[in-house]
Amino acid sequence: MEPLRQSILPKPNDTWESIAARNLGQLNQDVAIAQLQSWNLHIFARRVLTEDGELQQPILPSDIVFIEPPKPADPAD
Amino acid sequence: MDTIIRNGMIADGTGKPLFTADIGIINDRIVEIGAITGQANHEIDASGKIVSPGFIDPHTHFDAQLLWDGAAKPAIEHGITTIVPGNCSLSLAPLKAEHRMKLVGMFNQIEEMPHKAFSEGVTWDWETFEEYIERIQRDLSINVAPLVGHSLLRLWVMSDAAMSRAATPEEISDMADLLSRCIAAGAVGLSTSFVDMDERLQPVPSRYACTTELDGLCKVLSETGKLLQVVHEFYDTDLTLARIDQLAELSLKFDITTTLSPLFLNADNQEGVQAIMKRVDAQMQRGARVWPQVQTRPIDISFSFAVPSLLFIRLPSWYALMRFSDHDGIKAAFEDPAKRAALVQEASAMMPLWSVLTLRRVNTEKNAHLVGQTLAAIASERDSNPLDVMIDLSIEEDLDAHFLAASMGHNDDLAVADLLKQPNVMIGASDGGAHILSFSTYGDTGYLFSKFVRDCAAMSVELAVQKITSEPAEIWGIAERGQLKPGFIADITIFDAATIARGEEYYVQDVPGEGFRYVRDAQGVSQVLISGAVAYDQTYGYSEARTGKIV
Amino acid sequence: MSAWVSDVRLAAAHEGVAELVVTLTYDNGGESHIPLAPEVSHILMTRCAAASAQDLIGQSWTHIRDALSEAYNSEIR
Repeated sequence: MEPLRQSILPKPNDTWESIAARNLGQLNQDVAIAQLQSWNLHIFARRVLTEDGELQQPILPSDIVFIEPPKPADPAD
Repeated sequence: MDTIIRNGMIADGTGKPLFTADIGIINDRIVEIGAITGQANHEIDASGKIVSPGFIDPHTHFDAQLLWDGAAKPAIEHGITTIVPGNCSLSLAPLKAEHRMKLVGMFNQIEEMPHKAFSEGVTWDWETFEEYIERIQRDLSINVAPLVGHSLLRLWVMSDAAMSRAATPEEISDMADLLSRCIAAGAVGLSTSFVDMDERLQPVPSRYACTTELDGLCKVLSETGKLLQVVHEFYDTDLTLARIDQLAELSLKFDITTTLSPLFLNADNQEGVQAIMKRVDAQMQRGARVWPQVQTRPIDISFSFAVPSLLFIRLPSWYALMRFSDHDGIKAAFEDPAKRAALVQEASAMMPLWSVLTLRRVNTEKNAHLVGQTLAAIASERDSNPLDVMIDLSIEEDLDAHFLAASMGHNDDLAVADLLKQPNVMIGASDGGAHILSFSTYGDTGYLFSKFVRDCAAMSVELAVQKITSEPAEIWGIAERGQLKPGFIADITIFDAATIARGEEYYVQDVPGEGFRYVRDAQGVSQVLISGAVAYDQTYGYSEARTGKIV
Repeated sequence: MSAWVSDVRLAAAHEGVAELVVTLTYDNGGESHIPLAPEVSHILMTRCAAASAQDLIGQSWTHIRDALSEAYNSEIR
């Protein structure tokens, strides 16, 4: 079945940069990352600092990452 | 015959219309249904009552409670004869000694099980899943269909690395072997979580699993005919839709049953729930097995002025007071006539809400009799108004007066009834045994009958029984249970359709370590039999029978 | 601005507390609803200098991202 909204499951060690390059390569990287982040705010709802204050990879292997915005409501629905 | 249940109205679990009959039991099995002429050692008069298969609760967190209470009280008195613990990636086994405190932290963070309940109620005398099963079987009144938690598999195999990275192929293979052993010991499936956070607010171990790992574990489920349970990003429609598609692909690829929980229906997400069910139906049509779980009870909001609540976020003065003042500052503002008048003035626009609030908990003796009453009723008694009563009680209780706004979510009864009735919805997600300090997770079965069968007349008693007996038994692969049928195990609930209800919620100190929890006493459930023995009787209470099984 | 707050409302969270649900509207007209726990909501209110939840309407999605990050990665945790 066709997905209702395009998303990916991350590859190992994926970052915002790598996903932006792979899926939104036509855009300037900063713009692409900003768009990705605005579509995936659920990825920020977690602690990504270690006990030592080090930054961990925020994107998890089990995350769904949307690569397009939410669809507008279909007036036919 | 050992037992005959006489003259009951039989709801056999299949949805077939009620019929009057006797049920004969020998040992743990139903042997006859019909007009039975002989006598039995024990006879139960069920005249005027519904006799149904014992109810199955497919989403619980009774894992810890089963170590000190093999009846999972008060589950049985609500008609439940089989529970599924170990949901949401969290079980209590397999668990190495060095990770015990880690798991206690996760249970505390995610399911609100107090640390002291573990330190004073649990003797840690197991590590493997087999040992845990052996441990709880010693004193079991209720049947248990246990899930094994994905986070536990990761901790066992990967140790602390489980909390920071994807698994190697060797580790995935080890986890698959471990899952096979847990299933051989009685696990009915695997639970995983895409959403939960541990006690450090970092993702639980299962969230670090890549698709290869999930595939490796689903292969074991496929080989053994077991089920995958997930807790998904239930707060977001698009994420839920994507998870349904992911689970459907896993279901088709491995020929497994999957279930996701919870699914809520709120006033402003009705279109989202429609889209979700449309997708579930389409995936089921393709042959995938993806069962969303929907709870029967509405969601309440509770608060006290000891912790700032967002209920006041539309009221600038209240919000600023709670956000930026400490305990003494809030009390001083409530006691200052001018400040209080301004607060009352600002909040008066929301008077309909304050009127329906109920007083949930107090500490002082003098106000104890007011617990359970609405602020409107207390205001009437005190010749005051609900808003002033809320402030006065908060002052009198040193801000530790707790208020409840009941049925604030999942509360459109007719719409929820329509959802519960859908053939591709599993009734579940009670969370029994969890969130014990916040609300009662018991009595959802009574609420199903009192609200949706009786009050709303939205579904038949036969359908309601089917949805919590034969249907979950079939989905979860629980053999010889879920129907009243000769040859099946005699797990039987006898109840009065006119009075069955979940009972009032109250706060009780019955958790090890002098802990408290919210519970509800069942109403209208006469007897509950488990494997042919009376486990609960409305008159005599819980029996000494220990006939619960790992199913 | 690729997405902005177009509505706010209170909802009952699964855990039995009130949560703030923020509606984000994207450039294409699509919407998403972001539930925010009390602590995240308080930080968002401060970041947006909001006295009432209604004051959040019109704010950029970046405030939500930053409030989530701050709430989950605070030293206090």
